[in-house]
Amino acid sequence: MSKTSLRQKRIDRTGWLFMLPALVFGTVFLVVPIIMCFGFSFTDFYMLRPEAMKFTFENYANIFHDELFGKAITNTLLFVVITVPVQCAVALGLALLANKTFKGYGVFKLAYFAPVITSMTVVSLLFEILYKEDGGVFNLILNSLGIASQGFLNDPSQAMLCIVFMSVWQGAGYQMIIILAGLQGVSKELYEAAELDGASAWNKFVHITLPGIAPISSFVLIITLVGAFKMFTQVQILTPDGGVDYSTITIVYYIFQKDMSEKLVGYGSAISMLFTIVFVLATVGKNFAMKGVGKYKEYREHMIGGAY
Amino acid sequence: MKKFLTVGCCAVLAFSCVWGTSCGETGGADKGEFLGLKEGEEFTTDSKVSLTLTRPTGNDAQEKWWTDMIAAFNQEFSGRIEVSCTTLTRGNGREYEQNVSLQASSGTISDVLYLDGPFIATYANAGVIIPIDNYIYEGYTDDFLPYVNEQNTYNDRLYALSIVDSTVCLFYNKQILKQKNITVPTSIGNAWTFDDLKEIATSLTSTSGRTTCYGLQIAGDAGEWLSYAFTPLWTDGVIDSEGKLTTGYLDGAAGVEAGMYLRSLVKDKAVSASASGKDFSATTPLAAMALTGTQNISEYLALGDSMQDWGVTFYPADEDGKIAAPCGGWTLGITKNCSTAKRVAAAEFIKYCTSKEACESCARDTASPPSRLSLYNSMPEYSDGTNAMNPVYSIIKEQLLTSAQLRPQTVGYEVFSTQMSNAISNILKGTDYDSQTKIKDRLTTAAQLIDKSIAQITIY
Repeated sequence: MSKTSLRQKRIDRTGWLFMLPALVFGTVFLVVPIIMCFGFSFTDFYMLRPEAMKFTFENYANIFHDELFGKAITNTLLFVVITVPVQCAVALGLALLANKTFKGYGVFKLAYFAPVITSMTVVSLLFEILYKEDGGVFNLILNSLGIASQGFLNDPSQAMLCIVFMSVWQGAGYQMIIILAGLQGVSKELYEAAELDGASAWNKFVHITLPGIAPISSFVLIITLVGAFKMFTQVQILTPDGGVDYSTITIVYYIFQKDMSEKLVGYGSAISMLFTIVFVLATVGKNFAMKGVGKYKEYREHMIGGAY
Repeated sequence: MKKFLTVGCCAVLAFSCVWGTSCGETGGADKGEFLGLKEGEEFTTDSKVSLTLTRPTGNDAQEKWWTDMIAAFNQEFSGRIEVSCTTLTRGNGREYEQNVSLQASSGTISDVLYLDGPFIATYANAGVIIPIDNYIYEGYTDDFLPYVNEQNTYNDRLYALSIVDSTVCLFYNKQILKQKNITVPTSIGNAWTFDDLKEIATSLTSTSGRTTCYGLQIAGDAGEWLSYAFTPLWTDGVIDSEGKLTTGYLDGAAGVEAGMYLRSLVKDKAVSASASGKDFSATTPLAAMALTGTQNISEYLALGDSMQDWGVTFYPADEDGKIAAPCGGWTLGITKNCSTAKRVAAAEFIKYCTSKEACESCARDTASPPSRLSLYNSMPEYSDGTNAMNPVYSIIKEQLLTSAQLRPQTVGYEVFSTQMSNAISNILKGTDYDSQTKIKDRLTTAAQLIDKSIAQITIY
């Protein structure tokens, strides 16, 4: 055996050793649970009587007659559709501000990053006091401005928006830091060249900043999307009953209720599997859309280039 | 696709087999077959029996009582039985029951389980706990309150024994009521009705600056409290006699009327929709009265001088003057995991904890009503006027002995109590719950969800 291949083998082994912890934990806590969940979804597994578990297709049939499941899906999608773009936009705005060096720059960054390092449970408990209908801080402020008290979490039309607001406030700082790292990687020469060409601030933003942070934006979008789909803590703390008229019940919260409160593990697993499929489709859709945007840009640049 | 289907089917099959074999059926003995020790008979064994107990973490007084009780038992049965205890967080919702269920599912549940009374049907139906009447000699349960025995029985089999009980009473701040010249009922015959309560609570609500002190606090924990406290308002019942159907009961005419009444409490500013369970016990009270459980007495006593000024009166009566006071407490049962060889020892431990002396010490130390009838005559707190707690305990005694009403016995108690509490919570807090139709719809939704879940549990 040649010296090179021996060394290559050693490198391979070292690589595998480095990967081993991730592989073990990933298998034990991700792959195995997914396979188990898939298996359970075809059973009538009742948590208190696991020995009586039988094979059934009924769980999947029942889901489509479950009104609360529909409500949970609708609420989750509503949360995702509002939170993801708003949170990414806020994070981008904050990152652009933080990218400028000014007095108090450190304090600014800390102020917006502080909620991220605070547990969502603590943040939710804090906002529970702020949102309180009777004597809550937000209502006291509104009252002092002559505006009538709002129901906030007690109003089905406002409850989810209240959770969106809190989630954006809590989470935007994290995305801000990532986008900021991306912004600082954009070449200064490009901005200088654009300035020499007389480009406006908007043109610099659209043609230099956005393409410069495109790869990192894709990552930010994915983590925000994943986080939004998994929303649970906020509902559990702020509206432990799933909200007035189930206005804040989300799919993860519903799965938890089915599994842990009603002990219907088989049914809960079937919902989890469907949710996984919806989630994978959303991710594939997002990737497809991003590719489409990329191709359109290439085509546009090609056409503009051709015209000249 | 074929590969995917094959892997999927194999996974399902493998799990069915593995689960099926790992969780063996270990039910109890047939009814009438006596396997325990006769009255006065000593427990003997060739080798020491080790037992495990799971219970929720309690307050300081409860923790001390359990520690002392287990130590005393281990000393008395030294070399024969040894009990070790695991505590799980009770939580504000259903954390304890969730952890117990996970243990039952994974086959790691303890030999003896301390469980809330209404869950007996759920656990007994699923075979998590076994009947204990095979191990309890005849006449042992005679001294327990009849409704306590009823609570601990499922399908004509005794599954558990209680140490203490609980009920819901109306606690009040003496000073605030005195200022408003309001006198509280001192005998059950002239207890306030629910309408009286609303009227008085409304008159007691007062605002000073930005702070409002409401007439009544009805808030409690997130899981069960509202259904426990207000089930008696559903005068036609909340569930059928088999414990399987709530549609037509929960959302029946009496149910809608109950919902309208609860909503009117908020509308008339008798209670705060966003109240906290601590409003009444705050140093500066945010509520003049509280409809709450006797389990809070020890907490109020621990607050010291500032809360010496509180008293207790009866749970409100319906318009015919009839009281149906919510009741029921925690009980001790033997689980399926307790091997046949250990069951006599487990029964001895339960008998030790539910003996007259143990019930008395627990009732006294934890400020809870005892589960044994004779103690209401022998304990000074309940029997004569020499004890400082007499005014409070005499009310509780009269209420429990004359008007106790158990919570519904259903295999789906967790989903029942959660959904009913959620519906009541929505009716109290929701911004658009002023119409009868809306209240009816919400109760119907809750009833349908409960029925569907019970049907699934029953089929499973």
